[in-house]
Amino acid sequence: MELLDNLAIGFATAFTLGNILYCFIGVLLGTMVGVLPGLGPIATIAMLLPLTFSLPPVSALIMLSGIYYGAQYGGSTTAILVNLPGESGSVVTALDGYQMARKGRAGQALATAAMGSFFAGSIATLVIALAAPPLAELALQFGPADYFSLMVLGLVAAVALASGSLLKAFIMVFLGLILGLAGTDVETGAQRFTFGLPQLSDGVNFVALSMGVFGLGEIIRNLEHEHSRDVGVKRVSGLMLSRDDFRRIIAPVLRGTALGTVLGILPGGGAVLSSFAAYTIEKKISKNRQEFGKGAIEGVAAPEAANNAGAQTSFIPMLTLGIPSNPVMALMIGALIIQGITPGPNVVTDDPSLFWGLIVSMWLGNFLLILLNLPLIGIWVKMLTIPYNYLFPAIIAFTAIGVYSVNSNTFDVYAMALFGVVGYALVKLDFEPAPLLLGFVLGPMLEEFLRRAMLMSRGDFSVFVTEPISAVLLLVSAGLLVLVLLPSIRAKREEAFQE
Amino acid sequence: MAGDLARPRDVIGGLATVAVGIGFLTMGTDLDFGTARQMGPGYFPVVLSVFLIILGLALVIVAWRRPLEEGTAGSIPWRTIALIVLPTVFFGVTLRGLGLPITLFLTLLAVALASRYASIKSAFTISAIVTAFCYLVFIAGLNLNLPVIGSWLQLSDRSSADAPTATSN
Repeated sequence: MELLDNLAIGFATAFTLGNILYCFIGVLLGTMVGVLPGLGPIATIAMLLPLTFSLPPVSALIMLSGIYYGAQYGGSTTAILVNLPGESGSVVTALDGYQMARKGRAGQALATAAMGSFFAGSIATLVIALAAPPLAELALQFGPADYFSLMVLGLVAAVALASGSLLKAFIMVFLGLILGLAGTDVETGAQRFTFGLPQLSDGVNFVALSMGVFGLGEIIRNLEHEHSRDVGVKRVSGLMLSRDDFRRIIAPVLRGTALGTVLGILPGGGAVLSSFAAYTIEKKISKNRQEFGKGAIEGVAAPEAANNAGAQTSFIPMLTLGIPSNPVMALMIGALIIQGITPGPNVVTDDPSLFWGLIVSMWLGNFLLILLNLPLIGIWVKMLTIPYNYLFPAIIAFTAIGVYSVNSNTFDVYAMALFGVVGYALVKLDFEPAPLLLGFVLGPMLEEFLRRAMLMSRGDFSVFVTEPISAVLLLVSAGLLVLVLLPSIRAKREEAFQE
Repeated sequence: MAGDLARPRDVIGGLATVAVGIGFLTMGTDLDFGTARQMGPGYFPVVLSVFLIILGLALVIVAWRRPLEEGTAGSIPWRTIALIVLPTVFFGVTLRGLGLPITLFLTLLAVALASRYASIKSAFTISAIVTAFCYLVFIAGLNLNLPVIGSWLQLSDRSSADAPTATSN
């Protein structure tokens, strides 16, 4: 069976000493970063992006993706132990997880999170292995109009699922799109938005933008609200789940996995959306729903499974279509582009060792995480006590060095500083920066497909609705928008984000 | 709405958006617009800027009708911003001149003081530790192309192109 052949390639690639090491480093870093509030996978991946230059593409991806799903594990640790989710995918875990900890059941919560995550991660890996190749083949049927509409869907979904005002999320997207266009226009050679600066002829440096907005901007914001963190951790003992516990978590884990797997694939989907949805649904249908919010073990099992499944399946659109479904994936695409690989449907067939190696290593990463997490809990807890004022200079050091080393260009450092101010301004004005990054990555692509579609249709805009795939995608986008704008859904959405 | 819209914060946000949109529009109209069939470099930027302006106006209008936001959200931590942004710029300016270790140490010293829990001593400590760590990891360990001894500090009569970097060409 072809799948077995492909998996064989994957195993051969993933299980080299080097790649095992990179996987380990990735998940370790990811967990660490997930544990530390104020530092997330986006900033970390952005910081390490320049370093991946010198690595072979598959190793780079293995390490970076390890950071992403590793952070989901780490984030749950802090969510449970100190009610401070280190990662946004773990926000809902804190709701019941922390309550369990207060009742002395921290160990059980942590064990549930770990096991749920591992199960979900393994299933998600399998799903990717099965679904990606046919999806890639389907994608080869896509014409430019279809790609355009798919990206529109992705952007609409990102906006719909962004917390906060829709209007402002849209503004962020458009701002990102325009910024993405800066530089030399590939088709005509015209200089756009470059202010005559040669350093901008290749466009705004993606790393400078992301590190500035997500790194520096975040730091300024954190310093503004700096307070000493009182950890007050309960002792963690007793990691064993009782039989009753075990029975209770099976269904939530299954449901969470299913939900996360599906939601992760959607553009705009990923860990955050999946965990929220899983928690909400679980609460609705659970027999023990009155326990939710007070330490229901299902309230930990479902979102933890979901966030891990969602994190991993969100790789699918990136790997098969070359379209990022969330800012982390946008960074992954950035990593691939640095390596000279253009992500798209061809990657699966042209570079099977890259694709399958990554998939197998994801499973390996999940395995390593479950080995790592439970024994190392003590260390993670100690790390939580590092005061922020020791942490952030290190972050700044890494970001400054990182952004410089992309092009050995000090201009990028200045750009990053500027974007740091911009990033802070955005946060201050209550704009969520993530859609900006997405728009930035998709801007040039969007334009290219628009151009091509128009060229082929001789200027006829109706092509976007006459092409069947495109029409469907646009319909879904419109539907999604309407759905989100409907008053009743609006209220639910606010409620979900209110917590 | 979660992330409630509030005056004056979002009116400001909306106006800023409009201003940015106008800026891009101005630059975009300098470019060749082209036709729908053969889109020039200015086509998409102009369309996007127009959208941006419209959205910004919408935000101003919608936010205008919202309750006035009370609270200290309006204060801007200038000192913090300055102590993060300016040292970063300093880093860029002096990296090639002073070399990584010195530049980084000085930069971090300034940056560390942005925290309200910082003391001169803690700033020194953390700057030293992180600088040492970065040297070990990035230069000794990963061999990145970073200047170690800056060109300004060259004792002999060498141009900056000869500044020793971690990777010699």
